[in-house]
Amino acid sequence: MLECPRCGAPLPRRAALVRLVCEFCKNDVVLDRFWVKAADYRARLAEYRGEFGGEPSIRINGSALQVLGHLATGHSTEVSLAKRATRLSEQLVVKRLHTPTDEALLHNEQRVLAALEKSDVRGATHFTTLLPQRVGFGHVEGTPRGPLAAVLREPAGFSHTLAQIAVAHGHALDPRHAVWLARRLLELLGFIHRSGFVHGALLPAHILVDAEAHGARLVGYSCAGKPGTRVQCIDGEHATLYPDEMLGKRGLLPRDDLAMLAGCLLWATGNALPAPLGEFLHGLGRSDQDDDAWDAEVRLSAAARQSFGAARFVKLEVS
Amino acid sequence: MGYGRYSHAAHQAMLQDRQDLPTQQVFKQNGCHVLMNPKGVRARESRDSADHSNTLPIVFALDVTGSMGEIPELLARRELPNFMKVLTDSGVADPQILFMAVGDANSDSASLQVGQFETTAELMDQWLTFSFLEGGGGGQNKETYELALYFIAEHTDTDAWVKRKKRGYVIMTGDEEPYPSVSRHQVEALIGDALDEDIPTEAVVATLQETFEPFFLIPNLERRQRCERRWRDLLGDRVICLEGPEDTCWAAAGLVALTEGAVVDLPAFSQRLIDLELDRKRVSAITRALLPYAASLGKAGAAAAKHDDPNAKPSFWKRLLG
Repeated sequence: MLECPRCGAPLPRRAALVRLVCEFCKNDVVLDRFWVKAADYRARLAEYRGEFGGEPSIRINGSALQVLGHLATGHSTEVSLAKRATRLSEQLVVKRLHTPTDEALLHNEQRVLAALEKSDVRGATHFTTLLPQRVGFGHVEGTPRGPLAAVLREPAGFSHTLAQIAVAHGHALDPRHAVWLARRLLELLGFIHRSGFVHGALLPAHILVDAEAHGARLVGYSCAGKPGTRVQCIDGEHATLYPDEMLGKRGLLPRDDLAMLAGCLLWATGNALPAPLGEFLHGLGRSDQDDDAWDAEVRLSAAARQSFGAARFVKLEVS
Repeated sequence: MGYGRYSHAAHQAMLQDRQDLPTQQVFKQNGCHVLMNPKGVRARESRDSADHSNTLPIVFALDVTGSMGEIPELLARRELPNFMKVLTDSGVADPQILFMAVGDANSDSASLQVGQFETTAELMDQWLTFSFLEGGGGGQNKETYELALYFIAEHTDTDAWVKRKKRGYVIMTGDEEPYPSVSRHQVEALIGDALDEDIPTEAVVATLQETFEPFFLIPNLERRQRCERRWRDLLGDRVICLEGPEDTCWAAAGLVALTEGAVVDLPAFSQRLIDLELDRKRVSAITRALLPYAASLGKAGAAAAKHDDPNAKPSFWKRLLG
């Protein structure tokens, strides 16, 4: 707090910068030394953290978050939209576990994402931006302690899941959209696989779509693992999308992600596809040699050309 | 400071002559220019005038360490007039620009350099090219960005805030994290203020945001992992990950224009760039970089647009992507 040297009255902060008149004694005030108290800054920090309108809904790792609404109910988590409860805010997604018995899944997701963030395979600079961006991880604070939660950045623009889009289109999505969706996801899977992981739960609800910009990315890395490891969880609602061999003793392989991707797209389009594209999707990830997503993308291009001719932008309507 | 009129044509002509000059002839300083030395500065002032009754202070705090020197060069050779043009075309009336150069006070000889708020092309350019591109940096994944933020919070006085309670803008570029706190020893040595204790960087940001809208621009995606999370913890969605340093000015103009409401939404801003005949790939990259911040303002536009009208124009993205 700055004080008038004549009368001791409090002065505004500007008194340190410019000549002004003390409102109490009416004298001109010019301060000759720039004294700054750290306590004033700390007080403003406390004020900044407390000035947010309304009570923060939850605290995780000491960060106050305001939950804005429900996004989805997953196999093991409740997913909400949130933002940091400060003026310089950040749009977030919070995944809270339904039950403590699934904590290992959320821990696994953090480990996998941390490893993928450090990947240096070709294209990592771009593809790491398509991963869920980790912000925080911990139990929701309170008494008693709340569920384990992962805080992620909200992926701006990616506002629909493939499941929602398929429903909106009556499970008859225009197959031309399957082409760019497959292309984006094969590119991403190529990165994930080359980085040494298999997603392991490539389900319609785990495919996020930016309808305007024709973007697609994956979420739900809780069941991801190294090739050969056992599948950690199965979503019963989409059990038919999991390849049988993947659920058996051999464990995860990259081609399982390809087969599940094909299953998702066939499900969304109602399997009503031009023959070349249908053959491609029905065969994707089904042979021992079909383990490379980037190779598959080349075959996709050929199938799409045979099915639809030259590539062109087709707007995806999402109501 | 801040008198005189801005001329885009004069600004472009000024830069035309230096396209082929080596860096040393554009940035001639080999030490901190005496007029940019922050020691003893009481305040950098942004003032209204008869010509500019509605000033908008904008601070460019440019990292001039080894890995970041390209941005001041791009501004001085080509890009700064673009920033001014987009702003003035968008109806942002009286921008006043102050340039700061930022390094690492632990290792550099000129780790904080501060110009003046200016309105004319000549004077903006003068302070920009007075900057000493030291090309240093600490090699510890940190630079003393927090010192620059402290200086702006403590040593600027703007009519925009005093008369109108309107915040200015801080556009900081960099590719490292800030130190956890402002060192009172560094402040004493470089600025001359007497601090009783170190100040946490969070507290400096909390104070700065009272009078400025701060943004941190990372020049490309390769460098975002070095520092993005730390800056997001401080500034949230105001951390902008560019896809190339050449997008700095356009993105900065977009941030100001969106926040000021000078453009309706992000697609409208991108359309403005297309109208200026900027390469469409760059427009796409700039649009992607700005999207999270625009979404946080509810100005993402096309992504949120409804498609009720069958006769509506083709979507922005379709026109953009072809």
